[in-house]
Amino acid sequence: MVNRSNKKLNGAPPRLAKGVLRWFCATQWLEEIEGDLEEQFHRRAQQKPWFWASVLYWKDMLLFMRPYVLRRPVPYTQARGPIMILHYLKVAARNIWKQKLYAFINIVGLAVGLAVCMLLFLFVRHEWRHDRFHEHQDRIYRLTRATDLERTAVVSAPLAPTFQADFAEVEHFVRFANSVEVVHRGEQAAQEQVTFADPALLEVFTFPLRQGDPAQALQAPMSVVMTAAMAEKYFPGEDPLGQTLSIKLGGVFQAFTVTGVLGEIPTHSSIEFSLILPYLHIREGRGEAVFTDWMHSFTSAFVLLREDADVAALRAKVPLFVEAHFQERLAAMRERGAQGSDADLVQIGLQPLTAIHFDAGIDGSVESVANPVLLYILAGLALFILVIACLNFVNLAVARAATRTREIGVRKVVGAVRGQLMRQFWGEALLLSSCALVLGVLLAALCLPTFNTLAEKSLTLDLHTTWTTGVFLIGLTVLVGLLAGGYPAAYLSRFRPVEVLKGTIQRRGKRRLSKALVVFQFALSIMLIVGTMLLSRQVDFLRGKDLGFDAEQVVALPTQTDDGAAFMERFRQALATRREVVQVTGGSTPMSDWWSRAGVEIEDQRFQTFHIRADYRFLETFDMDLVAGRDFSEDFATDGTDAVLVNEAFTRRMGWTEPLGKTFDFLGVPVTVVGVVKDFHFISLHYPVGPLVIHLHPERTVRYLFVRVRPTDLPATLALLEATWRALAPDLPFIYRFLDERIAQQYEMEERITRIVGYSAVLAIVIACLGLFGLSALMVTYRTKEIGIRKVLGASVPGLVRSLNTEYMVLVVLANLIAWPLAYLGVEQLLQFHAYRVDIAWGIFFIAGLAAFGIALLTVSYQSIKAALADPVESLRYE
Amino acid sequence: MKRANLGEFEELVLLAVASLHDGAYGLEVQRVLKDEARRPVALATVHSALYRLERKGYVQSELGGATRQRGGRRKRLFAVTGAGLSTLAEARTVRDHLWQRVQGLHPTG
Repeated sequence: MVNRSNKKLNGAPPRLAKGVLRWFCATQWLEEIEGDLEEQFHRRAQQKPWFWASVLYWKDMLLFMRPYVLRRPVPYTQARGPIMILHYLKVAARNIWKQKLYAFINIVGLAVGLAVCMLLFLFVRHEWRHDRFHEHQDRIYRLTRATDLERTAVVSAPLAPTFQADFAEVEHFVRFANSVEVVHRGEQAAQEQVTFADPALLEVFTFPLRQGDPAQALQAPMSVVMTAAMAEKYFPGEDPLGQTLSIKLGGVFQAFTVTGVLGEIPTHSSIEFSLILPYLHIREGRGEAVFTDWMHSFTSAFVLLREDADVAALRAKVPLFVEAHFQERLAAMRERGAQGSDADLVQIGLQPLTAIHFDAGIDGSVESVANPVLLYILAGLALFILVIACLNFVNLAVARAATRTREIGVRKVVGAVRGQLMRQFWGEALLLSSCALVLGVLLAALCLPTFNTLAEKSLTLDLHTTWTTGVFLIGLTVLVGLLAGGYPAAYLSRFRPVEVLKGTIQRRGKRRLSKALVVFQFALSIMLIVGTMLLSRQVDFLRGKDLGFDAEQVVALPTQTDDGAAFMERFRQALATRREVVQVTGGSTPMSDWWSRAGVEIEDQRFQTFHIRADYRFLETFDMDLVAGRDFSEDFATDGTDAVLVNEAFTRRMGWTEPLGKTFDFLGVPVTVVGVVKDFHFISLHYPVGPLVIHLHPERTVRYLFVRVRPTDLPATLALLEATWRALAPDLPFIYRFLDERIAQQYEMEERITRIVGYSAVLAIVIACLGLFGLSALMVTYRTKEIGIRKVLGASVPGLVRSLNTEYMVLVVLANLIAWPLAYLGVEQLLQFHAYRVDIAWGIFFIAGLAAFGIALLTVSYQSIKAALADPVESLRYE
Repeated sequence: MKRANLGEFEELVLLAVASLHDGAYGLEVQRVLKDEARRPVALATVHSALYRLERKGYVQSELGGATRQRGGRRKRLFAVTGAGLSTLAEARTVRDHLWQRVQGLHPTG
């Protein structure tokens, strides 16, 4: 073995060295030099080890790097420098000018595609940059808690400080808790969002202070830090620093001193606030015990880890932390039947700050969570449109090849090589895409406001402030130019001059390819049309579905006070005699987006049920139907504590046929079912109606007043409500909302997607039709003579139009057949999460197909009718 | 004019080619230079001198004589042309003439 490998090694000089020689050595000398070197190598290898022979081979080989041996460019003259470039530019400009229609189609199509991509880029970059402006962004983590029932970012107050005390890796912690409080200064009084935060806030996060000392700003108990916008609102034209502001906490106005003013919070920040108070004020209204109560979850908590901290190691230590501090919660969980080890039941997570924006599946998170579905849809649509535009480019360039065969032939005869021609055509493509870029930027600027509404963003076209947008755009333009120009360049430069100049070459361009591309474009467009129609039907369906209760003419008023029940009574009394008001009731939830659930255990069945803490006259106000039993009534003294209403879903879940009079434990209180409510959609239609318990809460927590008003003269009625409110609660703002509006808002997302898909469908079909228009114009030119002869021989105009149209209309039919199943699958994907959805109506496919067919027919007919009507004398004169 | 065209090294290479009769190619010329004239030079130097001589018309070449040792590649076989021979002869005449004058001289110092 050893011998053989040695022999083999001795046999040949190093291959790499040979390769290097071949690379630099001129071909006319290569053979003899290679031979001499190899012969010399073999002579040496007989006396020396292979290694030394190789080293010497390398040395001798490298010494051949001399001017006389070096490879030179093929002795071949070609015009270089600006002369040729100017010539190409001139030819390109002439071509564009001569064929304005095609240039227009290409530029407009590409411009739209680029504009769409640019908007998407702004969007994605905005999403990506979310929360990345903090100096310590990679060391900041949010504490989360996951149990068998929930995963939440809302934790208890002692968690973060204990976490810091237990783990040396934690440098700082910051807790946030928000509430709405009444703020008052001079004439100005309003409800504001107030954030309670730990003093480390300004050190952990990078929210630069415009005024004030970041180390001291939140230290004093009665200090307040506010944003510049707030400062402008409460201290217009004054220096806010050191001034005082009254904020109502725990029912009393307290004077806070302004110690800092923040700059604007960037729009790509997950953490938002306007007024910041020291965290210790959370005890107001919650009591001092809140700082040690592990069961009361209401705050979000962040930690800043030390620079040398090992997150993985820290995470591994967390289960012990859970064991040490969560026994109370664990006991409560086990009591309701949860099983598993401590570490399984309660998991405390460290979530990187930059991941927060993309975590839509967690409870109690920040307001602005990214919607990945929207992101994917946008990206997909932008790609669709850009592809359709690029295909136009390819198609027209190839189809138009005929007009340039002579030019290419002559160029080749005069001595142009293929590379030169390819560069020329690529250059032309780049020129067109650059024109498209300019137009595209203008379009994007024009469409940005609409796009911002659709995507719910406030993006700006920041070409002058950052370079990334510019780089992206130029890169994309070059890429599009190269890709779209690539095939035509390769195709055109392949012509053989002899065939071209003799005229034997097929001059119509690649028919099959261009047809395939048309089919593809139309298939995409039809898919988008079908998608739009199906989605908008779904939205209409969601909007129009009978919810089982009457939300129209119900005004919801947040009570904003702890004494909601008494307030409601006074409100009801005050309006009792007014004809405009039908009924007043109260409840714990706004009846649309926010729900309480509780576990119940009845007859060996254990499940989660929704519940509403309602008040008397709840069913009456909402016009809900009772299937059995009775509504709550003040006539029954016990109703206040132990009567509940359940819905049909609840009885189905339990399998009860005689639900009335059944008793079970609910939230620790024995209750009796007094009535069954017909199922109504208390939750958005994304979900099926679940089991529901309506009960009168012992303390009668009323967070919302619901007032059913008569539909006549709503402004006057609203004025009446406001006057009543002002009389009863002068220091609380009057906030109202029609419930049906609020319910409709739940389907905003669907509506937004529908509109986005709709816009793209329009763009796609327009670009595809532009391309078809260009193609059919070319087709008609090529067939001018044929049409002339047919006419002379007696063909009728309708017959000619039909035969010309058929060629392309067949393609659109084919596109339909491809698009329908794909569109079906796509919509199916989007709707699969809806519990209630429209059936996919097959008629829609035909309508969409017919629409595409009609638009395409109009497009092609313009050309074919023009051609068929032309006087044959014109086209045949030159024969 | 022609005289000025032949350098000392070129003259040596030309002589080596002439001495090798039909078998002169790069590697062999290098061997002669090393073994007989004690001038170890790089192969590349020999090649460049040979190509230069060919451009000047003192040698002519043809390809041939592939062997397995050379990986099947042909040699460029050089032969001295008439012009080359006369230039060599001329150079030798000049030297001989000068040497005759040197006869009988002893080194100084």
